[in-house]
Amino acid sequence: MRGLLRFLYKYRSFELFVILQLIGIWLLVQNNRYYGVSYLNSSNAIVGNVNQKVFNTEQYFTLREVNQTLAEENALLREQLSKYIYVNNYQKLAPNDTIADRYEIIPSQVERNTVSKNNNYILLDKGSSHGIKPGMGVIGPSGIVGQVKTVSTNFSKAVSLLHSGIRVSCAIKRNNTIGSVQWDGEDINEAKLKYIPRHVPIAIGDTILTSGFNSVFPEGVPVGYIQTIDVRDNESFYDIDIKLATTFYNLSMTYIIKDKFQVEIDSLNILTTE
Amino acid sequence: MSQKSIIFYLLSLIGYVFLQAALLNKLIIANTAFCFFYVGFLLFLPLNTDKLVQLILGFLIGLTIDVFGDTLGIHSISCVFIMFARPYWIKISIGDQVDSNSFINLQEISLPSMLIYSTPLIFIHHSFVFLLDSIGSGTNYNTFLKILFSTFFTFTTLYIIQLFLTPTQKK
Repeated sequence: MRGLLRFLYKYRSFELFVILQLIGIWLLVQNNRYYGVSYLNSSNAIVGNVNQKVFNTEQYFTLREVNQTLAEENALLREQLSKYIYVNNYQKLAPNDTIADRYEIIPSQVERNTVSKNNNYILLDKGSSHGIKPGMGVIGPSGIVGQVKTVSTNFSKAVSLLHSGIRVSCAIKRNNTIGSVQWDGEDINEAKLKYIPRHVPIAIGDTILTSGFNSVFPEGVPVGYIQTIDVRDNESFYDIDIKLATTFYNLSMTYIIKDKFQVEIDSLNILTTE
Repeated sequence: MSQKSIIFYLLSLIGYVFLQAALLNKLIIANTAFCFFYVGFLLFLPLNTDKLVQLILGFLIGLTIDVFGDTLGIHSISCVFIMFARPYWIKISIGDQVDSNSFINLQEISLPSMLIYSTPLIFIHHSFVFLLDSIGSGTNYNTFLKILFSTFFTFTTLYIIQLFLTPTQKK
């Protein structure tokens, strides 16, 4: 008994330490609902982890079968996809309801296209004789391409999206947050998405569409997909890189968008600015 | 410990805790650097303070800060831990420069030894605080940077406080 007491006395500071820590932990768990939850979660995580490991190991033994079925499925999907792309290229932009009323779509072939400069232009085979005017938007089968800048009788020259001076008003498809896409001159497959406030939830892979706020592009034409998201501590906007929907180096078919209400909208703008 | 120094420590305890709870809990630089300078009271306790008293003081002060900051348990655990580690760490780090009757302040030990003594304890304390906090809230954004910058911030503040307080502690 005396020995036990002496032992307890000898290590009294360690015992007190343990007791106080236990009280602290008890307080932590008791008085903070989050800790209760996280305690449960972490124990679940351990269990889940073990389960996952077991499952992963089991998977190795069926890999051959899985590969076989995946390969078959791939072949089937590829076949369907090729049909779909064919149909898509020529029918996706077929006019429907409101767009049919407002926008006229003029197919045009790319005559010349540069991608290697800081300011790139595209030469298209439709001109003023086909009703093309400067300022019209140009889109491709998979996304936006640029904007017509100068027009001759049979040809027009469009500013490519790969031009340092072009900015396109865009919206994130998921939550309609308005931003602005601009090419930064580095990679022909990438551009910057600017002015997305950092409180807006976004994720890699989100689709960027045109906002339709100007009369150049109709609403909802794909611009790109979010590729990387960066947040700087002292900035109020995200630093977003997007992968452009259009591949510019093999661009051949484009569609020029003619807004039938362009004149009306412009005159309204002039009235309000005066 | 003389009666005079007990009164001094009591007053400084109130000062530390009050300043921490009222002012410094809200002084956060760029959401990264926090200042828990009340740790200074615990770090600069006289060396001849009983170990049990140290632990209980650590717990009570931590609890007070917890109650003020609505973080029940976090600071108590952190403080009790550094108060438990403190006697051993003193022996290891500055044991050859101080005897059991001296104080830890800039008159007794040099700035480098002060750094060697206090920053690891501050670091451990802050690690406990931020890790417990990040586990609880489920966000571990910048936890390590927070620990690092806060350690630096707290030490700087404590150093300035030391510069002010040291002359009055003359034995």
